[in-house]
Amino acid sequence: MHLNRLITPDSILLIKETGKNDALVRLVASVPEAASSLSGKDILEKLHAREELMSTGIGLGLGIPHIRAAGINMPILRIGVQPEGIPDYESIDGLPVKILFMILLKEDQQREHVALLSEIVSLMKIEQLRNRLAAITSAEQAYGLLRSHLDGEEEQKA
Amino acid sequence: MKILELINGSMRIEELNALLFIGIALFGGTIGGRLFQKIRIPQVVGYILIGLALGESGLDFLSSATLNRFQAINYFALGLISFSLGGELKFSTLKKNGRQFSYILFLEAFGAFLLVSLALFWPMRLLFDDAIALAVSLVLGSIAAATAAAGTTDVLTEYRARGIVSSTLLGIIALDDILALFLFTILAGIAAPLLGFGGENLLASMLFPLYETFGAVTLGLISGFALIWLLKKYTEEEKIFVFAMGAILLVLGASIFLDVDMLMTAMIMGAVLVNKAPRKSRIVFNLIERFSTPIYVLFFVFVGASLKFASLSPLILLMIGIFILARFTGKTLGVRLGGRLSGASKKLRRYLPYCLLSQSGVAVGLAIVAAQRFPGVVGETILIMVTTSTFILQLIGPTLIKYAIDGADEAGKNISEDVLKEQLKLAELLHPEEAFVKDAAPISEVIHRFAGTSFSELCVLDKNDRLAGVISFDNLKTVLVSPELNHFLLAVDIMSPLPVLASPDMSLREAEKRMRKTGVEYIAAVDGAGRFRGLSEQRLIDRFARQRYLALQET
Repeated sequence: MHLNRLITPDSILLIKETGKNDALVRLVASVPEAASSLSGKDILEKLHAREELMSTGIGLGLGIPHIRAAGINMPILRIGVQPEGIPDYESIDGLPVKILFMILLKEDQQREHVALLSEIVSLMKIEQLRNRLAAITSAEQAYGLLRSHLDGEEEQKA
Repeated sequence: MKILELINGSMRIEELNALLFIGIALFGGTIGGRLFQKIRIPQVVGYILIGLALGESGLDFLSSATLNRFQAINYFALGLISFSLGGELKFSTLKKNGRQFSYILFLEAFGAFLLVSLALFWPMRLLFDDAIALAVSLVLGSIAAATAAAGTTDVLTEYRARGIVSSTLLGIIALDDILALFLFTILAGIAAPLLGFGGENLLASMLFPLYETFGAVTLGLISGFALIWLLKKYTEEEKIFVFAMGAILLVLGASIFLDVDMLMTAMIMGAVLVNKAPRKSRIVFNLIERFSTPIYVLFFVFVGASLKFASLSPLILLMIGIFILARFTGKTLGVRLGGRLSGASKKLRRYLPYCLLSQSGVAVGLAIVAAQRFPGVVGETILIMVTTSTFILQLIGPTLIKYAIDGADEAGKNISEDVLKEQLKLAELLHPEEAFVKDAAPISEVIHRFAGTSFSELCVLDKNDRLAGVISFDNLKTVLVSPELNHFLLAVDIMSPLPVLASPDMSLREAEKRMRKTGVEYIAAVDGAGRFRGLSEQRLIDRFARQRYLALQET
């Protein structure tokens, strides 16, 4: 479970920015320096380059900006929640994006990349969870919500 | 102090102990050979010249008395040459080569023998009385049949020659030496009484050549079969080598003791071995070949040292000229006649004669044997004529072979796939319009592209056609199990970085090396600006080189 390991209290942010770029800047700014030898500007550029090819707003209020790049030293996940939504995300269903999963991975982590995306999509397909997450009022609350869900999943499996 | 005596000249080099003496001769000869090779003169010539410099005609370090002390080395070298010659006498090859080959072989060898014998007989009469002139001419004629194998194959290898002229040549050079050896054995036997080296009894001296030849054949056959029987029990190379070497020495010694022809015996033994135990014989001949170089070096140095330049009178020089011309004419007529009779191609009839000019080891070896059998002015004449003409032929032979294989359009045709891989450029098999997807291509398109290509990988290009990464089946598999991602993942999301890159003008060999280093089976080529020029895979490189190779074989 990659996702389970990557979701930490620090990885979740409640954001106020309502523009796509501002929101991404906010998420990138929260990346610890040791995690990447790329500058925040470089990371942002790469994220935008990927968005230019095709928006990662996959519908249902979900945005998953993701890149793999040389210079990133460890897998990083940042979850940004903007309850009001980001209207200019250009998501495929045209709806504003409320939940962002930003993924930064090492260049050779192709398998992990796909696996992680797959996990996020499966998780966010749960409508109840998605709606509750989009409506949280603090990062701690969001962490508690995801944690209890993932732990519950683990228990079910066990 | 021995060293002081040596320096002040009161002690001659030949008084040194035998090991030191052999060491000096071997070392000097090898260095000489290398030096001459650098200026494109065959090594054999280098050895002979070093010998000449050391011998009585040069610095006089090696007197004939000293040379006689090392006679055994000469015999050993001649024995090794003859034994290796026998190894070329494969009956299966003879049969395979067929009628055309046999006609040309016999007629070029006999052509040279006849013409040289005839052409030399009259000028020889200026030097000797009729009987001796006849004997010397016949012996020289038999030596004229031989053609250098080593120098010739070197040239063919150097120019990667392949074709009817080259292949016929390779067969002939080995076998006409054997013919020369037969002719020489018989004619030297006939010449002996003419030269006064026979016995008092005429009948005995007539029968002696028969005894000499057939005795040698019998001894060679017996020893050949005995060696095979012995070698059957061993598989270790060391033991095989020791037994083979021992057998050669034993047979050479026994031949001298029994007064039978030593060269013939060794040759027959080699021929028995190669025909009756082909697989084991390959090991034996390979081992002998590796071992024989120093013996040959010494042999040729000694040959050089025994030459007496003083005997190179204008008449002898003229006769050397006649020898060379008559030999060339005889070989040419022989090839043309044999070719015509057997329906050989015009190309073969035209160019083969130029390839048969070189002479070396066997010719010099036979001359040495003649010089020993007929000591005095007769032997000296034969030796100086053959060594001088060999020297000249070694210098001009390779050039003429080059001329012939160029004329016959056979140069550069004998290329292995490995060599081809060095010569062919990656660009020749690249198709830049294949094996890529754009970075923004959705997964469905990636799958579609895979279905439409024979490649197992697809390169991923950015909007400027620069290479960004590669998608293999493995990469694709990861998304196939997560179909929910298909509609928002792109090629760029599932690609991997390229482990290795090439440029289009890189050789196939270099591309292979890079792949091997990184453990992948594919390589992508990019130009100076990082733009994609095409993808290639190991199997495609192999197939391409194979096709080119086969195409070359057909021409």
